[in-house]
Amino acid sequence: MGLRNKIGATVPCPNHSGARQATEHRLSIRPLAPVRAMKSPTAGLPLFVLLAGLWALGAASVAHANDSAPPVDRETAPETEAEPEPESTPDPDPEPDAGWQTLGVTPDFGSAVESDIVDPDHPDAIPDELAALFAPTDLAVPAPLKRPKARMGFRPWLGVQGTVPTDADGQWGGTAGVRVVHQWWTLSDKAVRPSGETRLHAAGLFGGVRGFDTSLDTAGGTWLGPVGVFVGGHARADRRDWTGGGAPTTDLPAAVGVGPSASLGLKLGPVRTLAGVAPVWLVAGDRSGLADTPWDELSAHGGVVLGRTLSEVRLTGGYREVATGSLWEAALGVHIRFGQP
Amino acid sequence: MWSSLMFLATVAVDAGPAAPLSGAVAPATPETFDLTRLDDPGAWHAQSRVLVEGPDACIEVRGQVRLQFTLYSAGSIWGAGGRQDIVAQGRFEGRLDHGTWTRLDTTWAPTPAGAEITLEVGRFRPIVGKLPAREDREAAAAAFREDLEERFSEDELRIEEEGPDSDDGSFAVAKDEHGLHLFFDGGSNEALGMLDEIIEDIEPDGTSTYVTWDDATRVVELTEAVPLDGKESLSIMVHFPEGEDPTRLDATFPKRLRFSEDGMRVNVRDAQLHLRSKTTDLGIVPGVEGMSAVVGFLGFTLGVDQRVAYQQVRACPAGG
Repeated sequence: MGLRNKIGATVPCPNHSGARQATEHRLSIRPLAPVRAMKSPTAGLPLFVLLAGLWALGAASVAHANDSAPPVDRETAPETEAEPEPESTPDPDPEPDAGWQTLGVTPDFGSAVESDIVDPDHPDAIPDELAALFAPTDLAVPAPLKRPKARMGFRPWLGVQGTVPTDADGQWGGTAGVRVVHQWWTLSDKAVRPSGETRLHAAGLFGGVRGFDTSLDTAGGTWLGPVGVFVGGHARADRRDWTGGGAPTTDLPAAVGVGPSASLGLKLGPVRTLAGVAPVWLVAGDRSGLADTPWDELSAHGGVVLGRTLSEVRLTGGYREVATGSLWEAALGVHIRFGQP
Repeated sequence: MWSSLMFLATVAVDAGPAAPLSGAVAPATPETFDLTRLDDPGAWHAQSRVLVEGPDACIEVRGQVRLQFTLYSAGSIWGAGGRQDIVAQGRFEGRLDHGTWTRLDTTWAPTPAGAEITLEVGRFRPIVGKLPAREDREAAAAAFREDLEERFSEDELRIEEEGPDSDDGSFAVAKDEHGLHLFFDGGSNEALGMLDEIIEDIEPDGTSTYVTWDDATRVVELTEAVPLDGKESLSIMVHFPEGEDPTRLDATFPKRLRFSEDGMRVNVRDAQLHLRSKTTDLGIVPGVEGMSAVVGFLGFTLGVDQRVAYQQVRACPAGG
């Protein structure tokens, strides 16, 4: 029975009228009702109102697609000594300032949300106008440091791909599949912000170039201001057939290749770019590698992202040198998410 | 440590009609808290209600309020990630008449220079007191619309209004040369205090309370557990320094809470409410309060934080 048998009293909630009875009763052992809903403590705003607001925010953002959305300037915090006093405040007291007593209660609690008000290195350096609302970090109830910094994603994948053989005309087709992505990052205002991504990709190829393409990529590194530097590993298993004027042939037999990867990111306002390279050594399968290079195949990848308030558009592509020619792929993605500041 | 001892003592009391153990274990002395006072948790719970209901008097208050909505964006090799804060900050003046806000006027600070997104909220929701239902919601919605239409052109403004039977009030977004502006009006119109409203939404069959005495800090601590499901609970803790008036309330949800609303999975992290009050000649009056959480839904992550500082208080003027 756990806690229920150890407690000293229980308070029934028959109708939750806001003034619950304080009479002692034994705790009911009826099955508890499931958690039907809980208002998020968002100033009393129901969650779906927030959702509506966010959607409207996105709509407004789209409607003003030519406008950039730079972050709020935190150094110009809102004025707190707002004047004038409320115009709509009826004050029947002929001496409106009479009888007031100052309470001077200081907060000693934290928050689930960072505010940038309290500098951890200078916990006493709270702006005077906010001292009534914020507590130094070393007081009684510390702020939890649980912040969103990793997430998993499952994404459908649809793109185009093709080949430029060394001895025939180029062919192209489509690619469709799924991606499972795990992203992690560091939420801080410091210049060095480690982050990374691991991605499992599985897709079928159709059209002029058929086969399958599966890959596992992982990369970790850091953002240094607007520049991101990442290294990691790359593994790929694929097979491609294309028609060079006759019956389909298996021009790229199934094989598995592995190798390191390196990428460089750059943030230019709402536009972010990423470019990288991955040499690959074939470790399984019956496929020849490039003749005059230390590696068997060489992949280059890149992309450009246009960030918006509530979404981002991502154009990505890849180019790969193999023994029988070169391969390319491209995809255009729309991601619904809060834009990055 | 008396707290653990008193916990056991209350267990014994709860287990049956036997005499309290407290007297035998810890004889009362002038320096020692009368432990027999812990025998009735219900009385302490009743006394704690003054924190969320306000004093049994009519008082007027002045203070500061600050709302912050934080939009978290994920990072990866495609971007560093980060957050964007939307802040509303202002001063308020109100009248809390025997636990009900009969007036609560807020003057929001003008748009800060350089701010891209600003927020105005028609009625913020304090933890203390009940915010009464609006008598004429349609009139409130009309006033909301009229005010915004005076301030923005048709091209700049988009208003979303719920029906007159809805508790959701109105929402508007406007964009002009100064940036993006969000406006909320109404919120819930239920005549409930914030904490009671949360507990009502949880719909527990019952809540559990127990009382302990900490000899080191000389504080009576009342803990109320509101079961959320079979395993976790909302914990509401109230402090009574020296066993006298309650001055502190902390409500803490589980670190991570998942539920569905309208078929949508919602993830709430680190939800918490805090209230600090002060004993005055007007009774126990609120001093400062805060509530915050990080909410995840549909792949979005949103942080919310509300802080209210009651800086000045007085009795309601006669005839006012």
